[in-house]
Amino acid sequence: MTNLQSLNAILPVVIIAITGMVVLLGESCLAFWRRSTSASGIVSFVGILIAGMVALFRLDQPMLHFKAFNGALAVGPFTQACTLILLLVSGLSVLVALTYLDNRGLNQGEYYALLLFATCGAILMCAANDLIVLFVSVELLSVALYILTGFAKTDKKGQEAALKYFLLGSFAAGFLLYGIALVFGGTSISGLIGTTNLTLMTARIPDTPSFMFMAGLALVLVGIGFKAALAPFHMWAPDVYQGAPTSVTGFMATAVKIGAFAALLRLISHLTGIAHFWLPALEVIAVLTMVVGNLMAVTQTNVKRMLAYSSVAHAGYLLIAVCACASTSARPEALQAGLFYLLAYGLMTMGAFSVLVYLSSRNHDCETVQDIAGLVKKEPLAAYLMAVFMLSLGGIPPTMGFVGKWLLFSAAMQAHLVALAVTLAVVSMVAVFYYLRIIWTMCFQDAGSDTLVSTSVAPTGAQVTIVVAAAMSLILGVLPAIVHPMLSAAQTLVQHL
Amino acid sequence: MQMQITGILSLLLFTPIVGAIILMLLPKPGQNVENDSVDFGAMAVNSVGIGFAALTLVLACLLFVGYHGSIFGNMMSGVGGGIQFAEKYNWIPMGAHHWLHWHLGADGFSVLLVLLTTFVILLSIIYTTRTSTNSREIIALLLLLEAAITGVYLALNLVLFYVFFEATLIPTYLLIGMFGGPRRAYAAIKFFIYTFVGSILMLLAIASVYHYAGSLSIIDLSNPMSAPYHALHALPSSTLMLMAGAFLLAFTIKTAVFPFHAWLPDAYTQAPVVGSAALVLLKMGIFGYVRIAIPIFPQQCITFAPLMIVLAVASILYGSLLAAAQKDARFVIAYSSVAHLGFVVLGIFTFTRVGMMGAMIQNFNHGIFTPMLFLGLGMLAERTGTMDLKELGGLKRVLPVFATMMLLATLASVAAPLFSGFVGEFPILLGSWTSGITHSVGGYWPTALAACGTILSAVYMLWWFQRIMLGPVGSPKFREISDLNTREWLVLTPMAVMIFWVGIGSPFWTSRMQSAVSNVLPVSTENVEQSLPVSVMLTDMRERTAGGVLSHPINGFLVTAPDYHSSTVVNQFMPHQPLHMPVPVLQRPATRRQMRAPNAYSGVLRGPGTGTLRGPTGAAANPLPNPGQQARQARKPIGAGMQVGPAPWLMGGKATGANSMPTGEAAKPTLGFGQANSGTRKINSVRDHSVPAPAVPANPNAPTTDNKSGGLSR
Repeated sequence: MTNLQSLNAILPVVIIAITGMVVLLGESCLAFWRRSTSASGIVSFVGILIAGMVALFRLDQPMLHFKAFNGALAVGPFTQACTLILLLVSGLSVLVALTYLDNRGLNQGEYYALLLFATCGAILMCAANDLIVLFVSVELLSVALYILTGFAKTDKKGQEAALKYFLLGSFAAGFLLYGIALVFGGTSISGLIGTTNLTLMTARIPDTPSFMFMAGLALVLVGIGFKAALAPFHMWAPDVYQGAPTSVTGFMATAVKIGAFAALLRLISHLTGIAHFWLPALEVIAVLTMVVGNLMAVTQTNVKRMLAYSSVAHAGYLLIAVCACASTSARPEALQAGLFYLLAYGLMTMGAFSVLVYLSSRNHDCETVQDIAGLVKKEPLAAYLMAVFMLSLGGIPPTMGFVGKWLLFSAAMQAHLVALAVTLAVVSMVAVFYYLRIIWTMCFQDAGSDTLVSTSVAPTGAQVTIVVAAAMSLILGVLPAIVHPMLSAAQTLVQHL
Repeated sequence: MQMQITGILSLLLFTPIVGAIILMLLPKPGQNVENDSVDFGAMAVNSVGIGFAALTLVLACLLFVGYHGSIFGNMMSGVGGGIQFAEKYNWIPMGAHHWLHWHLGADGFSVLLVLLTTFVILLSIIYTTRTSTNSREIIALLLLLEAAITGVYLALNLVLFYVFFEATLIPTYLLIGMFGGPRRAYAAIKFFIYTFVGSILMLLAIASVYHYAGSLSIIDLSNPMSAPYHALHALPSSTLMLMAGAFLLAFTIKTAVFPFHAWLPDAYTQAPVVGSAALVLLKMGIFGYVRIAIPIFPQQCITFAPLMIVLAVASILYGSLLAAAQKDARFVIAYSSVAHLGFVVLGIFTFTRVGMMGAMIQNFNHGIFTPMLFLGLGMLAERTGTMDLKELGGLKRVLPVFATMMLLATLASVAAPLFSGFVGEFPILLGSWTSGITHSVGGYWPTALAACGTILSAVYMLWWFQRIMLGPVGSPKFREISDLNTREWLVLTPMAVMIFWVGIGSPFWTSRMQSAVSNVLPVSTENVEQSLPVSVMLTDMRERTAGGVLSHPINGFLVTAPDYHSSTVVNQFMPHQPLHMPVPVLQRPATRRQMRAPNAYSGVLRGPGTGTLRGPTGAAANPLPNPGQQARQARKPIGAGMQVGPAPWLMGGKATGANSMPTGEAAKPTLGFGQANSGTRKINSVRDHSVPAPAVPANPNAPTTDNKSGGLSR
């Protein structure tokens, strides 16, 4: 494949990257651009829209299983599906940011450029067929996010969160890189030089892999687990989610997780031959993540922090799909379940954060339960749609969260992971409690003087995001068949590694 | 040729949802209204709410009237037999070209419960129109609740069932939590978590059923001759018990049987008035027993039945005693609900047809008179401002009409004859008395204790009525209050009419459930205590039928139609005639000559305990010298190990016991719909666990006559 063909294959990433550069340059060089508060945001949104169109049209094209750049990137339907989900999430993030930056007086074009670069990184994580490429894309995503986390320069909590994220993230990156090095060493058998390419690696794994290989793999899993906020690597998540600007938190909670889980699904699908080595470890991590995330979320009074723990819990749910990939018979179902849940999780989490953004004002971030007490009296639509997101996160029908949870249940049973299915059932009961408490606070309590109302008069980006996310959560909860083409395409990850 | 229209069930489901969406788009009533001007907002909200609820009720009535045999039902029915009006679309993709189906259908239980739901919701909405501030939200939530409850009754896919089962939680949670009493938040969360704990385990059980059986279709899973059923029941019994236990737990919590009843009093009393009425409509637990638990896990349910009977009797006594001890008028009704639902569960788990039929009628009754009592108490609370039984009193003098209405509902709750409660509770007690399972629990004691519950209900309900209505007027200010207004007349009168209609004319309401009861409890699975005289009577009836006696002594059942060539099984069951025990099942021989021969009627078709395959020609493969002995064996329950051989000609698409025609009409040769339809649902036929079904009819004579006699099917 020539480089041009390879570039064509990852056209959405190219479009996003170019848009990012245009925004960066336009902001710094063009005076008229700088005077407008929303020019960068609109340009970014248009770029994401175009990239999304391209990805959408390519979804059912015969150009399957294209290995771009000498096998470094795998551009198949799975990648396209993940790209679409990511572009949807970052498009919504841009809309949310338009409102949030306006509300908080942080209007600066770099924000959008960084958001777009982070999106590039996340998409490349989904496509990475080589561990080195995976590392580079993880870093692309992370570095942009370190800056975004501390974007509110005067906010002490934001600075603390950014520093914490940066330090722990660098540490995790070290793990990841060291693991890759060990894998490279572990795959150099019988005189061959080692490899980090997943396709080549699969061919070289013996039935009982060397200790070096397994240790490397474990470290890679730690690195990805940090990004995906799996317990016990989740400690950073609550502090960072709480400290970061809410619009960044929404993006971070969704895009990073989508990228990390896409990478994990791809990695694990290449390692099914030695599933008996990693499956017990992942099962333990999944149970731990689900339990820790849900139990910690129960006691939170800060909504952002509660959502952070809830996102840890959801990472545990998603790990069930990853574990189910170990079983050959259950793999198509598991991949479908994983992708559907990623989409559902992205929509409902983004929706919940955008409600918080919608209620934030210049001086006050909406984040505690007092801020939303009795919201239904003051902002009925926002309260009802927040209730939709909470029910969806709790997995109550007829929302998307339920369909996703059902698919996970079914995949877990199909793969004989009964313990995981039972844990999922048990922690779901706990989860319902704290999601319902938000609804209870919003709808059943009386509005206090602290209750926030939206300060903006015109329809804002956050409102659009809320409505879009809620409508999709409900419509896809009732008619999940709409995304069936995307999901069924994703199964081909299984058929052609 | 017949025209087929499908989609009435989806229409029924989505009509209230559309209504709710339109309502929420209307402006909130009570705003921007001048002092004297007409509140057009409230008028719009009320008319939209009542309009959509009435439209749904009309559809439900069409469903009820059209079920099983009318021209309308014939036009609408997609699948025959127990399930009609079926519709099936692809719904959730499940990987590798598997789909979850949007599969709806109505059987005899469904049509009645759908009618009940739509009826009570309409009356509740009419009641709600009095308030203006919150009526928009309340009516919208009631409509959403209506859609969800209706969906539970119509779902034919386990996941779809679960979806609706859970979806009912949201509107009820919001109804209680937003518009309820002082402890509303506590009650709402308690209600939600209680139910959710049960149902998430049910979801796990559903996932494992799908994993092991490869199917989620309730029809397939409850058909003993289908592959999924066999796959499921090939599992170790401990696994099956766990699955059945998860389903039963979910349904038991939803039904609020002791000791899982704790959510009920709080939820019922803290909810707004219409919310209490709507909560009473949450009959999904009861429905789940008969639609899912018993048909899919018959053996496991029989194992659990003694426990369920103990819990049911405990519910009856505990609910009754607590009801008698309450000081708040609404709590009395709430605890009386625990007792009434205990009766319903008792009736179902007797595993006798008479008990189950009684349970289903009592379920229906409870859905009428309890909302009536709650709505009545709501009207009372508006006038007196208190629900404390000590402060109330003597209201009959100031509210004579209202007192009369409440007396009707009270008597129905007490199960006085002529009122609806009697029609339900008497068969339940009868079934409990005759049931072998009840006897295995503790001889006659469970029945005796349950019967004490009836007496206790008279104690607490009559005392309740007395403390509110009789005696000196509780407070001087009560003398000022006025009797029912037009809107309240409109709410209470239809319910009072229903109480009498069910109490006196129960066949109209039960006729459609007969085939459904037969499907859930075929003759062979009935569990009747052997030592009772009634058992001998049943045996006699079966001996007579087995010996070739054509007419049933009680209901005059007679098969004389000359063009009845193929084997036709007509099953008559009338629970409102106490002596009429289950179920002579006849099978007619092909020729007159054979008809005269002994053994011509080859006995209980769907429960020949001998396991011999008998052709419709009456030539038994292994004729027994004494047909009565055969019939006696036939009556052994499944649990007794007398496994039942399938009657292979049943596979041919005809001739099962699903004829729901009322007495006397059964013999008409033009019964086309009932018989022909019934065959296609093979669940009707033999509930057999061990003998795999032959894939093709063993007897070629029978199925060929399908189109001649019942040609309107399919």
